[in-house]
Amino acid sequence: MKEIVVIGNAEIVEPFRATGASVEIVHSASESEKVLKKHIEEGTKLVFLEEVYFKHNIKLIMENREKLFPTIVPIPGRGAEGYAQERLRLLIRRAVGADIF
Amino acid sequence: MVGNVNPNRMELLRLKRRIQIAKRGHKLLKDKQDELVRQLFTLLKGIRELRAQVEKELKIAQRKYAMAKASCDEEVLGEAFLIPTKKLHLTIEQKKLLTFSVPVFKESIEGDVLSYGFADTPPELDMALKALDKALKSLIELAEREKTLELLAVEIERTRRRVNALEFRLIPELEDTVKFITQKLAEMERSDITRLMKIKDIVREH
Repeated sequence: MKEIVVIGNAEIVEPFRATGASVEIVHSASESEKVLKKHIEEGTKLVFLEEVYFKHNIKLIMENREKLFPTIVPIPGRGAEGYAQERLRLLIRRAVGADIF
Repeated sequence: MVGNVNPNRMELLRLKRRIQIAKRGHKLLKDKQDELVRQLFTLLKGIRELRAQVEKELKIAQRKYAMAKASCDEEVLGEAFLIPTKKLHLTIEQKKLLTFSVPVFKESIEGDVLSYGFADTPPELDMALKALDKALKSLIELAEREKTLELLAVEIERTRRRVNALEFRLIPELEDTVKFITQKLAEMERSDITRLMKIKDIVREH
């Protein structure tokens, strides 16, 4: 079972190798879905997922959002810029009923 | 609910007890919702700034890495990451927040992020890794705070649904039923009195 995994395109996630985190390089959205599913099943604790793949896999992430692990966090990459902020805004608007983010 | 209920005193007592419990539950849930919203506001402070800062730092690292990649062979870069000396361990604890648990990440970091010879690698790679190293701690803190925020938001949503269901559906329905039974019982009582008076009149005539 891995503790921290970074999933995304090579140029985004490769440098994370030097920090001691595990890295999963993916080339397409469907591949990212497979890898993410694998880590959810394996019980990885913390997953950093490139924003564009986070957006693609939002259904899977929403299904597992009440589970404590894995904690899936979007990191910026190429495409889907600002999606992480927008998601937080939406989350809070649904909870509180007003846009306070 | 009004339609299929037995209008008797036992049912009335049972429903009145249910209303009392529902009102107490509603008050408790409302208090819970208020506390959750208060905690959400506390957590919200600084989270947007933290995300903006982390994104900025990661983008700097990504840009520098792209420059490093453009200025040297892929093999050299591959070799640079071959044996990382930096060790990153995550200790995970759980903290209870009212009725649910949230994760607490404690990272222990050992070693240096620059684990390669500087002769063949471009300086941009050093800059990229240093920027990434700087962002890592904030990134883990952000993960913890965002997950807590997400779980809080889900719990608030769920509690609000329960509060609304009690306030706008169950309690009014129960109150309507109690009203219906009370009216029905009063009607039966009036009907009994009328019947008795009528019988008394008939008896008096004979």
